[in-house]
Amino acid sequence: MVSQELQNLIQILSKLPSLGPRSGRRMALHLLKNQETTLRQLIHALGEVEAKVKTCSQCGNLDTLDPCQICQDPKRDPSIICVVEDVADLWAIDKTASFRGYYHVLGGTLSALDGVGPEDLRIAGLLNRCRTGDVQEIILALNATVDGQTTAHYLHEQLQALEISTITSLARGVPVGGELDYLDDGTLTTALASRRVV
Amino acid sequence: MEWSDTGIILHVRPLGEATVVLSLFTAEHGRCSGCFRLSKQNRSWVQLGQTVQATWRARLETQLGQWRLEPNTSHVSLLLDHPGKLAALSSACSLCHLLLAEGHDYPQLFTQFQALTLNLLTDDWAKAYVLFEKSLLTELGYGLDLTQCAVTGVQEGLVAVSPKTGRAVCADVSKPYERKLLPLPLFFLKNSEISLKDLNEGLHLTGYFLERYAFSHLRVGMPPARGRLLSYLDGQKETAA
Repeated sequence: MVSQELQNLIQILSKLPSLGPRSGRRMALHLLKNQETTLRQLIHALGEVEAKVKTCSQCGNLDTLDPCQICQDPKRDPSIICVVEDVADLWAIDKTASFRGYYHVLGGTLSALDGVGPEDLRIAGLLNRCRTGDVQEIILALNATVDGQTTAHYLHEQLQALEISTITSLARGVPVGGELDYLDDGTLTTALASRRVV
Repeated sequence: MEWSDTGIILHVRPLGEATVVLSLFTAEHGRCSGCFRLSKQNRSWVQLGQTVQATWRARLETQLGQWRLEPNTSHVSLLLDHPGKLAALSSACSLCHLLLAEGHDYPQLFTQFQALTLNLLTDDWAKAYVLFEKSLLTELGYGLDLTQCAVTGVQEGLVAVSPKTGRAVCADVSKPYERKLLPLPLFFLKNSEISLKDLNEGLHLTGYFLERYAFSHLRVGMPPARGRLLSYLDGQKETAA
């Protein structure tokens, strides 16, 4: 017989990404068995995150500071903004340390059938940043899906009106370490279409 | 029950973390939905307009069912860089997803959709799209009657369509009602060269009947992708001017 409180905990944990009821139960048991080392630390960490982490009003990143640490970094190049769909994309690109400009998180992509329109995304904020700042290049780092590219085209149209000198998008094709034999038709076709002189 | 068919992905809706509900337009079974489990390997090709070899399985015909899919050769990736073609593909997928009855077969329209996905790679893509909308109207039961003039019965010189009946009208008859009638582009009647004006007229004509009849009983409006296609063509017109 599991108490109502414990049942609640299991139910909440099982709703987390990659977890189901069984793993939720295992996590709950683990937390209860390790109250000092894990449970209290987790409660503390969750409390701190809830109290301190917020969405950056400039780029949409998640951080304890507003503007976030990336937006406050003076060593970054203010003339380049990389537009991404989600915070996870921002973290993925920033982890590579190959981009030293600023970011802008849209918070999704345009989707006709799911009712996501331009007003549901952080597009107005991006246009505002382009108007007020000295932005020379916008990198549209959006997913190579129909929705992602539809959003990219929409942004391109909007940004062109602001006379941004360079609007670029990420390359598409063979991934580093990828074997041609294992690639899907679409990726191979795009790779061939965007081949370059060696 | 289980069946296999060729299909085109019309809509992808996330269901949990690694599962999606896919709406497919199939050759012999019409529009059908089912769950599909995403993996690292299939994530890249599960998108609108992709042609697949599909197997649908469920205990009962009325259940949501499960898909087992194998990708066929698809050219969607070549359309990603072209805003107009991408909007046309999205719009065609949205219209079929919203308007086609589930479980009802539309073999002719399916063939035309397949042809459209190939025609989107050519320069005549916009014309192919408008003619697809015309076929869609026919399949939905709101087809245009362009065989003869609704008033005089003549088969030549048809220039407009009645917004009430969807029947063609010849030039002589249409003159007093020019403002009320919808212009009929020549490429609706025979294979001819087309201009941006013709395309806009064609889209306006099909759009009028889609909105007035096909969408009248739905709670949603015309797909925004169609609006983007119209504004893309408007932009082309301005550039040409």
